[in-house]
Amino acid sequence: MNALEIVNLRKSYPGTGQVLRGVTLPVPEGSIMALLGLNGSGKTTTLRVVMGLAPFQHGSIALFGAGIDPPAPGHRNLLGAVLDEPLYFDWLSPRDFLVLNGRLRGLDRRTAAERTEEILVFFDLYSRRHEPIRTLSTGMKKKVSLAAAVLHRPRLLVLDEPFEGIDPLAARDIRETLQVMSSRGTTVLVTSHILDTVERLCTDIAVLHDGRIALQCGAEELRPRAASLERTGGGDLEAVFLELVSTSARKIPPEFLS
Amino acid sequence: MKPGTRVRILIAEYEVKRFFSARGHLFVILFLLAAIPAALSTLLPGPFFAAGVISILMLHSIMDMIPVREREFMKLSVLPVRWEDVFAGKAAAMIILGVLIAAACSLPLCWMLPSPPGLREGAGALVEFLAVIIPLVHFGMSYSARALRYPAAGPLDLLARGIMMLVSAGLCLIPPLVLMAVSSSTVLLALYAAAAGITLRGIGVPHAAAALRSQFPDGEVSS
Repeated sequence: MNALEIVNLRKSYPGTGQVLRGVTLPVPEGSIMALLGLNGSGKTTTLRVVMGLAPFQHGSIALFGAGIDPPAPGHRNLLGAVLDEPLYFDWLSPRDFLVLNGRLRGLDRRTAAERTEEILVFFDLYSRRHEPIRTLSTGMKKKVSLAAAVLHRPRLLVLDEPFEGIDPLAARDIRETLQVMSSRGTTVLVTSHILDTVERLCTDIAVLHDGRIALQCGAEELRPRAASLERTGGGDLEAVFLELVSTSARKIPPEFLS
Repeated sequence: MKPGTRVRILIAEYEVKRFFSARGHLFVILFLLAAIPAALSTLLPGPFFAAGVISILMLHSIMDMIPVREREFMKLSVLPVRWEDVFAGKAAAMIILGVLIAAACSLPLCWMLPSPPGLREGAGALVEFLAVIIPLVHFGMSYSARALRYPAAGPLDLLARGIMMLVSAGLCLIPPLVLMAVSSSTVLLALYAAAAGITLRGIGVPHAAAALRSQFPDGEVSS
């Protein structure tokens, strides 16, 4: 079964025209799918629509077989999200925020507190657990966001650029968390511009370009394609990605820079 | 406990904690100093009046923008909570905070008085205070859910909101004053406060939630 089934999704914003022009994207259960695309290609919009945070004009979205418009009971608890804007209350401490988040998601006080302690230790946030989130570094805030997104053990995790702006150690922690969760059945839909990390982490790749899915395949299927590009100087995900999204000839930097 | 009840309690707890975590609220000491001569004045309805005014002044920056925190709704809309429960929790927190602050301010003011008021007068003052603050919360919530407001842009904005809050409080004060003029008993006033509470819960909260839902989706039914 697909964890997420997006069919012919169209969405436009007033004044900016159509952002999504018929996106069809099945996300297999248990996969870690990367949704790649240039800035403004509609990745964040797609995730927001999946989260039920933005209305769409046409198409359908099913989450574990149930449509989200209107959402089925329990829909919100199937999902965990790290979006492009912070979803935490930054005046709270990581501990208080995570416990509140867990309890609002229906966990009892004890379970929420126990899981919070465990995840704070795992993410190296334990020593800062009583400090307001606003005083933490960008990487720590990202970890708090991810901790909140996974505390209730969602079946689908939606992550918008979780690796951007963080150090390699924090990136490794997040990567390992996602791999562990995926191995236990959680489906992950992640956007990122850091293609090295995507290549190491994801089992499936989709490229969103010009409001449509330009490519969707398993990570293994990508290798022969990348190998064929090797002859022309490519050979990795970046080469495949650039081949798909490049609409113009390679640019030459201004003369004064050379 | 039903999920909706749990959400209401958690949101109320969160709001109360948030209020006390803000150090800016220490400016209440200045109000207290100004309130002492006011409490002793015979021109005011009673010694608790000044405490009530201080409480409303302290809460003014949040009472008329109950549903508004910076991007708060985006944060809450990914959670399985209904706006009805969020608003009910926030409204309860405002009323609890108002009573707590008024009570805290009353203690030093009463201590300054030559003959401190008794328990009966205290209970009467509580009823009077509730008769003002509940409609005020209703008014602020309904207004700000329709026109989402954000933290004050500066001192002038804050002052303008403070004045607006005092005008609103003045309007909310009219029915209790009329009832007090009609009858010296607090029973009528208690009935009015109870009716205001029922109206807030039964009409104000659902209407404000519906107004917000048209702008921000909420989670599935949690009650």
